[in-house]
Amino acid sequence: MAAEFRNAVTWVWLALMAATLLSWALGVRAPVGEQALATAAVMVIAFVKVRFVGLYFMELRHAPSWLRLAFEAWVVIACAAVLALYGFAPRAA
Amino acid sequence: MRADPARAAGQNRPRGLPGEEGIWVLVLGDMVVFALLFGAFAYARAASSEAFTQAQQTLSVTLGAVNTLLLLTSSLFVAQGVHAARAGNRQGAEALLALGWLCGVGFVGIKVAEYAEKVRAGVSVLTNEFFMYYFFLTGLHLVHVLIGLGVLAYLYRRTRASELSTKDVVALESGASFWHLVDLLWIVLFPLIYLTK
Repeated sequence: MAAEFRNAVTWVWLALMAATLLSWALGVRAPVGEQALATAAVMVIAFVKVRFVGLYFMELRHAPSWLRLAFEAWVVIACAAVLALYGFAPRAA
Repeated sequence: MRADPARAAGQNRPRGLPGEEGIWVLVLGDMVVFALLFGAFAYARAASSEAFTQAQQTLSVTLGAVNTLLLLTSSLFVAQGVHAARAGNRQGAEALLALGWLCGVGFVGIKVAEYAEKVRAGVSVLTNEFFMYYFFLTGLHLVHVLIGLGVLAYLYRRTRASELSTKDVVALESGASFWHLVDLLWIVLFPLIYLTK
């Protein structure tokens, strides 16, 4: 069974697990003054993770380019939208 | 039909589009719907920062993180299961699908425990804006998880039933793609709900 795991997907999984732990640490330990930055960082990390899930787990690397592009476009647009809405929302007094 | 390993030049890859076309309409459509929900939450998060942070403190970040690790691992198993099926390794595919399914069940168990704790504490979707979003977003996601578990169980039984045909591999690819969708949505939901300030 070990042989079945010697491929790119396993390495990507390992990186995704590490990125999750990194985000967890960032989110929990961010000093009060840096919270907006930490928020932006964990969200960007999340969307980068999503991209890797799409490319490697969903095998979009090998898929027709229209599908891969649609997915990549979603990653960029959704990430930008989340950051923009978070950044530009009027803060309550 | 004999298993037809769709391997190109020794690499285990799908020929062209993985799975049925229809699954991608579903996957992309779902992603768009969730993107709108992510955006709405991000706006509310910033607009009601203190109230949201106070409510967020009552969540268990540890459980949220463990759930993320569980879904990532289940996606690993399911992706490797598809590879195994493509290579004609039916028993390997079965075992990997089962492991993926078990990780998914673990996720559900933790989610139910989280919800139960909130219910006991008298917190519901009506408690405040944060919890309205919390229950709606994670609840909608949970419905996807449950559907995905049903799909994985079906694929497991189908893989056990007979030698793998090309149609079986296509079905596996489709079901696996839906499961990876479930995973990727939580990858965004965890930091969005549990970590953002």
